[in-house]
Amino acid sequence: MSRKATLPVLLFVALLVISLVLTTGIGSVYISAGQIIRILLYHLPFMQHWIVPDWSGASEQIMLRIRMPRVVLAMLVGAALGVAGAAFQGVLRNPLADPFTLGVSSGASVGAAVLIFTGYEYSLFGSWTLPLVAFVTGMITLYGVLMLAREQGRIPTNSLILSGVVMQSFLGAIVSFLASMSEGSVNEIIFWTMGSLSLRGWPYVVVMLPYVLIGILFLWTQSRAMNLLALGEKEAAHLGLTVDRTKTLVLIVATLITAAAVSVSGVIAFVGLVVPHMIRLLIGSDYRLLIPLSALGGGIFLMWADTVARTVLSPTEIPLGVVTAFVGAPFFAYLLHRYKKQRTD
Amino acid sequence: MTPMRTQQDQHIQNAAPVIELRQAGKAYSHKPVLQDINWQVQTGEYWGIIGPNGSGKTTMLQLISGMERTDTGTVLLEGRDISSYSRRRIARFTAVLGQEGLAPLHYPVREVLTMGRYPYQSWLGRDELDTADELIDQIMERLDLRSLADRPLDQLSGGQRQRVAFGKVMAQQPKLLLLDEPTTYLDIAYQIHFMEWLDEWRRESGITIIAVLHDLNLAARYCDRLLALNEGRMIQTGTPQQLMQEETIRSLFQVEPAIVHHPDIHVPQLLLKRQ
Repeated sequence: MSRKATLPVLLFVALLVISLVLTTGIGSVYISAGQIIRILLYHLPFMQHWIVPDWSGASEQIMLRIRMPRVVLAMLVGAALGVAGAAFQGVLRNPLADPFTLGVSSGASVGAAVLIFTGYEYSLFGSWTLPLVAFVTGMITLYGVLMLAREQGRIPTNSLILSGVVMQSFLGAIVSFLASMSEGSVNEIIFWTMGSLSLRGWPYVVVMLPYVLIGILFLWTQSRAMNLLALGEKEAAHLGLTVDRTKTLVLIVATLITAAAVSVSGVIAFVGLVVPHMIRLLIGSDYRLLIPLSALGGGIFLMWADTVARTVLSPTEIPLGVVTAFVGAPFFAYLLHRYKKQRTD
Repeated sequence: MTPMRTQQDQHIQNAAPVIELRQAGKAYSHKPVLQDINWQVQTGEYWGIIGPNGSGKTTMLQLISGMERTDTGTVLLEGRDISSYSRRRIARFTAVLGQEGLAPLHYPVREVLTMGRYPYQSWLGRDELDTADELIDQIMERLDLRSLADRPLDQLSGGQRQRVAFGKVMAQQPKLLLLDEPTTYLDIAYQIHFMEWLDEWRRESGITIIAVLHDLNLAARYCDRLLALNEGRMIQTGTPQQLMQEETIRSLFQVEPAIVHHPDIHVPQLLLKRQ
């Protein structure tokens, strides 16, 4: 990567760290940034000798047991959805594609919901079961949406989005139905269809981390291929890219990280749309930068969105998907308008 | 231009024809578009493929570039069946320049030229040629693209984008260049510029060229040899002098031609009579 790339990456890393500290501090019990940093340092090996604990045990517990895992999870889910969105846009060459609009999120949520409501969530592969099953149903959904949208070997933008919406409402209905059958509360339905990170501890982070990390790294290695695809599939093939294999691999991995995100957080809308497009406005469409910055930007975006979700009407929580949809749906409308104009020009 | 290959290199490398078609045929949904093509292209030759619309010219390029497989017969690339090569191997050998040029993307010119290096890059993006950056510089210098280096494609004119497309193909350092009506959307000044750049590049690198050209006068001026296709069959091959005969043109295109000689260079040129 060139020098030109270093600055925005460093900037985003700095923003991510600052956001992590600030959003951890915000809540019903406020913890100052200085205190958060000292508590964190105190828990590093050999640092106990240098830092004298001057904070209450309660705020340490709140921070480490409740806030931190939730903020870190928001970061991971945001990173996964942001990168998945950029990757879907790259290989489908469709500016409006993202895990939510393609129905992949809803597809993954069906798999996860079925497992949870039937109590099989730890069968087969232990705690890895949930993301894997969510991946399978997400993949089936993606395949269905692509087939439905296909017209003579091509996938027009509008019919892809339409197919996504059709799948989404159908699968959303299945999830809501399952939730109402399970004599759970309305909360469960809201959790799966609107997304939430409440009551999520460190174990969820552990389950999700490897999928997201490896997935994002893999997609980053495909960024030059996605740049070539922007020139057109034929052009990319003439430059030595095995187009079908690359597309399939990227779609699979993007679906996998989406599934990992959905199985811990439910369906959170529009992150994969808003974040990559914001980055595109800032630095252009070079996927070598777009992928890592979408990961960082997605993390930042969702940490703040979740902070809004849990604090604005405190002690009541707004579902996280509601917050992202407030931002995302108008943005989606704007993109629709922009590309409509571009086509008629 | 040191990074370009010299003609000598190529002769040493291989004696087999660059491209050979043996009884090659292709059909789309049982309708034959190419039948029984036997054709050899030797290193350094400059071929023009001519023929009316729908005669199979583009399909022929698809077979030679390995994008489509033959239904009958074989296509050999340097003596080996083309289907035994990976996409990457083919891209290191063959470059393709189409008529549309490049889409108006928001990528800067320099980045697009570097994409031509893709078949030489490792998965981390390292070019196996240490002087790849200088190669790109040279190409930009030569095609007058230097002042546009950081401009994104979507701010360039159609002619400028076609020049970038040409530069990208040069960056690919192919031994075989396939052109599919590359001058269609260019004005006459650009057409001549384009053909002259191509000629210059060819003289330096000894590259083999196969071009599908609609403009028979350009074909006669620049190609050494022409191949005439009609309804999927090879009608005739030969020099421009041999092919640009009134009778041949008349039967091929169903037009009333008048062949004249170019005043400066001794090649046949075509005028059309009113019917």
